[in-house]
Amino acid sequence: MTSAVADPRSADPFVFGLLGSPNAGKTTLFNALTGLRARVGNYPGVTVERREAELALDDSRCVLIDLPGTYGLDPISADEAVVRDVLAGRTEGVASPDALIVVVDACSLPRTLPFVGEAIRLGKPMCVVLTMLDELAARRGNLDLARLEASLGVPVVGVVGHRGRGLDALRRLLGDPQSWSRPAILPPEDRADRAGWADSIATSVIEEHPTRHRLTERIDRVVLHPLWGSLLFAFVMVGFFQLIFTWANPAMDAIDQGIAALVTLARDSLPAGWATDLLADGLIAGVGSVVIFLPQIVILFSLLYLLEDLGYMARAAFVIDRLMGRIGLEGRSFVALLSSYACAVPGIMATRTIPSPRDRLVTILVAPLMTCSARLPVYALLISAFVPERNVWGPIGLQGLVLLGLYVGGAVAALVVAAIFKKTLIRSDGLPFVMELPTYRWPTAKVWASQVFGSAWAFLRRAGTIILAASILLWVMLNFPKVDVPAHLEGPAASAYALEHSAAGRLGHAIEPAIAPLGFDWKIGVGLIASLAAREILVATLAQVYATGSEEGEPLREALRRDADPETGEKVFSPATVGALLVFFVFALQCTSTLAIMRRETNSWRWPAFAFGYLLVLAYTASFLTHRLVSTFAGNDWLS
Amino acid sequence: MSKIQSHSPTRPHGESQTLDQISRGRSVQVVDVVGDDPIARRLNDLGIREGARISVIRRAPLGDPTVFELCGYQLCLRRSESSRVRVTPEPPAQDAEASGTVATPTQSGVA
Repeated sequence: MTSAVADPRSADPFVFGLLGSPNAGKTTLFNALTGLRARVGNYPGVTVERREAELALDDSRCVLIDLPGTYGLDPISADEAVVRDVLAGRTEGVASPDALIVVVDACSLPRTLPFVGEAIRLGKPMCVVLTMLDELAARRGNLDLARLEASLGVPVVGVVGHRGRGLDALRRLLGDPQSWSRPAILPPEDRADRAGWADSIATSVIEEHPTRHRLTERIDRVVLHPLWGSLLFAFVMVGFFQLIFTWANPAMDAIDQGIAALVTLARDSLPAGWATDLLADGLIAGVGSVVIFLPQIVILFSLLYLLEDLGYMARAAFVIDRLMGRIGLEGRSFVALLSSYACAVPGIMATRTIPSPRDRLVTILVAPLMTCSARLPVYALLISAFVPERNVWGPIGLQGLVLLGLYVGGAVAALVVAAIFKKTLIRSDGLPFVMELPTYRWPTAKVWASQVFGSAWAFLRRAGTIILAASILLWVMLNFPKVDVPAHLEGPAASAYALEHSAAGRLGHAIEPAIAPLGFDWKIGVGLIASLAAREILVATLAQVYATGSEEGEPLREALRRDADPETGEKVFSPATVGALLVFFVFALQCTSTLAIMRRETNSWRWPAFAFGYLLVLAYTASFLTHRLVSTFAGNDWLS
Repeated sequence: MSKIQSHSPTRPHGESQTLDQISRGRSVQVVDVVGDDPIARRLNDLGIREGARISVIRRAPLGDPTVFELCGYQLCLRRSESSRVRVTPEPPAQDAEASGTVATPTQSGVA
């Protein structure tokens, strides 16, 4: 195996495994060595991200695997067993590393030395990379690197990953792993003995222990203060949420208009026909439905990585942890759930900061319950059409209260469901909650920009393709098969007729018996099918079904209010039906983009299918109960 | 490397205290971690080992978790974990700013 380094033509490239604790600077070093060419996937069977990249050294091609961060080689959960299994060559499709690079934070060397000892005992060629040497110097600590190398018996290199210092020496070392020194005697096997071995090395190589980071101490006095810290937390979280909303809006509007302009351009310059329809309404609009998420994703990740790299994210998690702990999650889930208020797509991507794979999975599964901005047009239409505009208490109006109720309902449901999942389906993996508080540091612009770019690109490439395909499929269902529209119909009435006879229209009729208990007729059924592409499409589809030719203002609202069953004369949109429809939208996962991003983040269709299923059951049940309750207690008279 | 072996009942404070009971600003020395299960091993991996010095830095606004300092880094633990760490108070004269696992065998001055 090791001959691969000497012989670049060899089929199996030499594999280096990057091993180390979370926060040791492993990922920074990985990016610095490989320049962001990582292939990202998952380890089989678990939601643990797998990253590897080609490592171009002077005269050979190697592969660098970024192993999941770990505090020890003795796994305490199935997810942690990944590291042990990869090292032992027991993971299918993953080459066992031929040599190990163990990344160690120089400031907390005494903690990590027993882990280094465990790694040495694996018997593979190994070197130690000491990171955070700049911080060690700033905290007036000092280490004898030469003595550390002599005591461990393996090569030791110091680097400052984000500044690129020490990387050349490391590359030279990686070029020739056969020459790496090996210890004459292995560290002790017994845990306690190994701790003694580590302590004696620490005593001899640490010339000066690092002091506390003064600036961090001073900042934390405010940031973690019981009162100021809580206020700052609220301020940062509200600001974070607001910025995703408000900053993204102009860009999203611009994209919306740009896409609309392109659609018009395509229609004007191409001959009329279904091919043009497909290009304009299917393809261009489909691409638009992907690109529309980019502003939110770029802003979310810009802020997220900024707060993370600065060191605030861990503090925010620390402040809110107690509340999240009650439902079995931890502080870091909070940020992802809050982001989901803007949109579940960036929210689910934000779960990457949660180290426990189970907590991450639960957060992903409940994120769609947070009231995203796509539900707002639906709520706005139904509330403005059917909830009376009157004040219930002072200036507080009924319409606003209903809207607030829907928002709160979604959040409460998310927390309750998360608590249930953590108690039943996805129990804790026995991992204790442990979180390091890193020292505050300025992020480097290059690292920050490349992280944001990497996330945006991953979204476009992995989720975008699925979203695009789904948009085109839905377009086809809404437009085919083509039928001959009776001659006396024209304009909106003709398109309503065509829609009723399309695949989606027929499906709407077909599911009518199933949704009738909720008070929904086939027209709402078509709307529900179309809103699978994105929830707000319900509004446009209802406008088309009701042949009003307008999505906004009076016509659609009036049409909805007037619509009555031709046989019984009862209003289709009774209070019970409106309530049921609103509640349905609180719960149902009517969003292919969310399903696509779930598929990407969990690397399987199992979890998006599960989320879709459980949320559909929840939506149906809650909607049914709402319909029953409102029918029984409210009657039909509050509209007149 | 010297270890604290004194488990004698003559030291009223040393035996009974666990890490979650230590008030903010105090420094303690680890006696042991209760149990031999994965969580105990993980705490061990995090540097919470016999003889290690731990300072209690601050508690979260809601009372849990707590930030501790040990081995040159800061670590948040919830009560459920920190209550498993048995500790003995450090002599108050010692410099709380210094950190590391190098245990000091001094037993005098236990409050």
